[in-house]
Amino acid sequence: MSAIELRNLTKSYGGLPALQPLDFRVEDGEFLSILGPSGSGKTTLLRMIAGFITPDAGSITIGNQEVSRLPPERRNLGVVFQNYALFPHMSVLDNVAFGLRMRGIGRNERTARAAEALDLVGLSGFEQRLPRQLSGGQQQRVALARAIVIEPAVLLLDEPLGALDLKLRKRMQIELKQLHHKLRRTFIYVTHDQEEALTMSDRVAVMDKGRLLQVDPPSIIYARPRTAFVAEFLGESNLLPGELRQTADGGTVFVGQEGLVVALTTGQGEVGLGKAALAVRPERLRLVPVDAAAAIKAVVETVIFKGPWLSLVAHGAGARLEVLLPNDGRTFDLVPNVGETVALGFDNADVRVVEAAT
Amino acid sequence: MTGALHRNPVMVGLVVLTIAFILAPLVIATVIGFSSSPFLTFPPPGFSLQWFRRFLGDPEFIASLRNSLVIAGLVTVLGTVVGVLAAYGLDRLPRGPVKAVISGLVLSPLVLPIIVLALALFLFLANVDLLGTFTGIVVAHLLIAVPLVTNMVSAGLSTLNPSVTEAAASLGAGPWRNFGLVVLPQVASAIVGAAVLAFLFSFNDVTFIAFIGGADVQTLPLKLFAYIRYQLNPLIGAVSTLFVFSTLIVIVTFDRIVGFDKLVGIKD
Amino acid sequence: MTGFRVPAFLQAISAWIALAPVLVFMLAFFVLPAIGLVQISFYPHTAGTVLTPGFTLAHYAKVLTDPFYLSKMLLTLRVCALVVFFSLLLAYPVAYVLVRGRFAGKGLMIGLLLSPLLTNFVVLVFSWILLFGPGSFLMKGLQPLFGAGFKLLYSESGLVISLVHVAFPYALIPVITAIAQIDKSLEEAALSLGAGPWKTFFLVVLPLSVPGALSAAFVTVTIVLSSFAFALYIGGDSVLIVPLLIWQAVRDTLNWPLAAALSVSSFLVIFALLGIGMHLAGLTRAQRRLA
Repeated sequence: MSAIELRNLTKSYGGLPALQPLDFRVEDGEFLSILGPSGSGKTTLLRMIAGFITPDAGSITIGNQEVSRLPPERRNLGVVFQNYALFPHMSVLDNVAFGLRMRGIGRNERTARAAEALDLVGLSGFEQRLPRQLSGGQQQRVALARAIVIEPAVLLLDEPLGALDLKLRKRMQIELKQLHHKLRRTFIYVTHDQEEALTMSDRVAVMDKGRLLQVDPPSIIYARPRTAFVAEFLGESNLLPGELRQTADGGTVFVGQEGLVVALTTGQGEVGLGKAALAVRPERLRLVPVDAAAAIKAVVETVIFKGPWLSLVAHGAGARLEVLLPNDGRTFDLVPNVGETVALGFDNADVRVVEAAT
Repeated sequence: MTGALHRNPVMVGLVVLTIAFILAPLVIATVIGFSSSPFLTFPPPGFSLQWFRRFLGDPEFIASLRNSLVIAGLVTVLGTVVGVLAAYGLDRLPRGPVKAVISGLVLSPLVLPIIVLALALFLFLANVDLLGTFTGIVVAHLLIAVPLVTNMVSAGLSTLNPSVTEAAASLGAGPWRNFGLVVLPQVASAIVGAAVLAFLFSFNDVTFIAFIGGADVQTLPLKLFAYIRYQLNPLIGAVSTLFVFSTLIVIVTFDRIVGFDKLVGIKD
Repeated sequence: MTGFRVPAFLQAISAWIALAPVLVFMLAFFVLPAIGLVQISFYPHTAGTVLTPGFTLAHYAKVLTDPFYLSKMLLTLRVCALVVFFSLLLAYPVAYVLVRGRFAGKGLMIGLLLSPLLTNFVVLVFSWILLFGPGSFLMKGLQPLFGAGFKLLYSESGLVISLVHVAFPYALIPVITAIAQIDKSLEEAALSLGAGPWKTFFLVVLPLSVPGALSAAFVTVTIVLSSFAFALYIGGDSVLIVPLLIWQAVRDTLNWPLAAALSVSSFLVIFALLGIGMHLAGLTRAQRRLA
C-alpha cells in the first residue's frame, strides 16, 4: 500500500557522483535500515526521499504516487533529524502540533492529538516546556512525536540517535522498535552503526560510495555478505586472497595462498571464477592440531586478552588474521606463544566467498 | 588568566581614561542644560529649568521634533519591511556570483562616506524636484536604513539551524508559512535591534538633512544645526539632555534584550 | 542556508520576489544618483548657474593639480591618519580588557562606549564647542601648560580630538571582533615560552588582529570624510578638510560639479586605501603561512 519504489536514482555534485543508479523497493510496514560509512550516499538517499534533494534522474514512488517532483511539504512524510530540529521559539506542544496545524486541523483537535503523541513517547506533562529546557533524549522524543502525530505513510529517520550517549541510545533503540511495532508504518532508518542496524531492522541496505551493495535481513547480511565491503563493515571479518576455480568434476574450489584449498558447496557466495576472497569471521576460527587438513597455517603476532574473548592476531594464507577464542578458563593452557606457528581450523559452512578486495 | 594583561594597571588606567573621554563631553553638555545663566559657563552658576521650558514652549522646535519622529517612524517601518525581505531573499539565493553582486550592491551604501551619498542624492533630487520634501528625506534615510536592516538580519539568519526549516517543510509548511512561522520568530531580536538602530539613525541624521532638507521640512537636528550657528546658548544643552537620556534608555533596554557583548562577538 | 533544494525555479522565484523592493529602490535612489554624480562631475561650471550639461575635466584637473586643493587633500589625509592612529590606540586596550576580562556589566559598558554612535552629531558638536571654547574650564586649565596662544577651537588638534570621539565606537567594534577571534591558547603558549604579558600582546595579539584593525581604519576614514559638521564648527576655515570643501562648493560657491568631482575623488581614494589595506592583510597572512 505504501511501499516505496526507487528506480534508477542518480545524483552528482559538480561531476562527482553521490549516488550511482539505484533501484530498490521498501516494503510497506517494514523497518529498513540504510547502513554505510560517511560519504556512502545514505543521507543523500534519505533526503531525496524526503524531497530536500532533487535526483538528477530516476523516480521515487510512494504508494502509487510518483513524488520525485513534489516539494517536501506535499509528500506527507515524517522526518526525524539528527539534531532534532525542534522549533526553538515554540513550546513542546506547539512543536508537535505544527504538522497538524499545517493541515488545517482545529486547535482543540490539534492539542488532543499532540498530547496523545507525547504520551506515546513518554513525555506527558512536558507540553509547555521549551526545547532548550529539555535533555537530548527528551528533545529526540519530541521530534519523534512531531513526526508521527501527522500519521505519515513513511517515517524517515536520519541517524536520530547519533548525539545520545551509549546507554540512552540502547534504550531508545528498543523504544523505537516497539514504536514501529505499535504503529505498523514503514520506517526508513539511516545509520552508520552496524550494531544498531542489525538490532532494529527487518532488512538492512548496505551502501558504499553511492552504490547499494546488498539488501537483506540482518541474519543473512551477517552470515552471507555478498562483497568484501559488506563482510568487513558488518562485524569483523578476515579476508583471505585467492582464486575461485572449477574442479575437474564441475565443483568449485577456492585456492588461497600458502597452500590453502577449500572445497565449496553452493550458497557460499555469488562470485564468478577468478580472483576472489574468502571471508571468515574471527569467532569461527579455532585452534586445531598442526597436521590437520584444510587448516590455515599462521604465525602468531600478538595475543590480547579481551575479557570474554581471547584475541589472537596472526599472519597466514597471505593475510593478517584475527582469531577470537572464547575465554572458558581452559584456553589459557592452550594459548600459543608469539612467533609460534599454529593451525586455524574452521567449518566449511562458516566461510563465504566474496569479491576480491580492490 | 592569560598573563593578566587585562588586569594590568596601565591597561585598566587607559580604559578608564577612554571611558571618561567618551562620556565627559556628553555629561557636560547635559549639565549645561540646567544652567541658570544664558552664557556657556561651566560649571554653571545655578540650577534652572528655563531652557527646557523654552524648548518645549517653542512651537517651531516642537514642530521639528514631530517631523523628526514621523520621518524616523516611517523610515523604520519601511526600512525594516524591505530590509527583512531583502535578507530573506539573499539567504535563499544560491551561492555564486549573482548573490555576491546583489549582496554587494545592497550593502554598499554603508561603506561609502555619507557625504558622497548625500551629495549624489542632492543632485538627483534637485533634478526630480523632490529636494527639501518629506519624501526626499525619507528616501535618503532609507538609503542607509535598508542596508543596515538587511545586514543585521542576514547575520541573524546565518546563525539559524537549517534543519529546522527543513523540519517545518517536511511537516507541510510552504515557503511563506515557513518564513513567517519558523524563520522570522527566530531572528526577532535581530530585527528589533536593526529597527532600533534605523530609528536612531534617522532621528539623529544631520548630514543628509543638511544637504537635502530644510526648505519644507525642518527636523530637530537641522533646527539645532542652525541654532548653533546663530544662538549659542544652553538651550542646546537642554535638548542634548533629552537626547542623551533617550540614548541611555535605548542603550540599557537594548543591552537587556539583545546584549551588546553578544552582538559584538564576545563569548563567555 | 535556511532553504533546501526544491525545484530550483520555485525557490528562485520567491527569492527574487523578496528582493524586488530593495532592488527597485537601490536602482532608483542609489545607482541612478551615483551615475548622476559622476556625470555631473564632468559638467563645466559657469558662475551664476548651477548645472549646465557638458563635458570637461577641469574640476578633476583642479583637484589633482591645483596646489590649494592638493594641500587640502594632504591635510585631509593627515587628519585621517591622526584620527585612525588615536582611535586604534584607544580601541585596543578597551577591546582587550573587554574580551579577556571577567567582570559583570560588559554589555552596558560597551553600550556606553558606543554612545557617540547613538548620539546626535549636533549634540556632540555642541559639547566640543563648550569644551574648546576659549572661556571653558578645560582651556583655562590647559593654557598654562601649552602657552597662552593655545586653542583647540578652529584648530587641527581640536578637530582631531572631536573626530576621535566620534570614530572611536566605529573602530572599537571590529577590533573587539578581531581580538575575540584570537584563540586564548595562543597567548598562553607565548607566556609558557617566556614572553611577558606586554610582549605577548605586541607579538601575538596585535599581528593577529591586523584585519580587524584595517577594518576599523577603513571605517574611521569613512567617518572622517563624512564629518563636515565637525569640520564646519570645530575646525572651521583653518582646517579645510575635503568634506568642508564639498560643503562650501555646494552651499557657498554653488559649484556643484566641483563638489561632485571632490566626492568622486575621495571615494576613489577610499577605494585605493581599501585595496592597499587588503593587499597588506593578504601579505601578513602570507608571511604567517610561511613562518
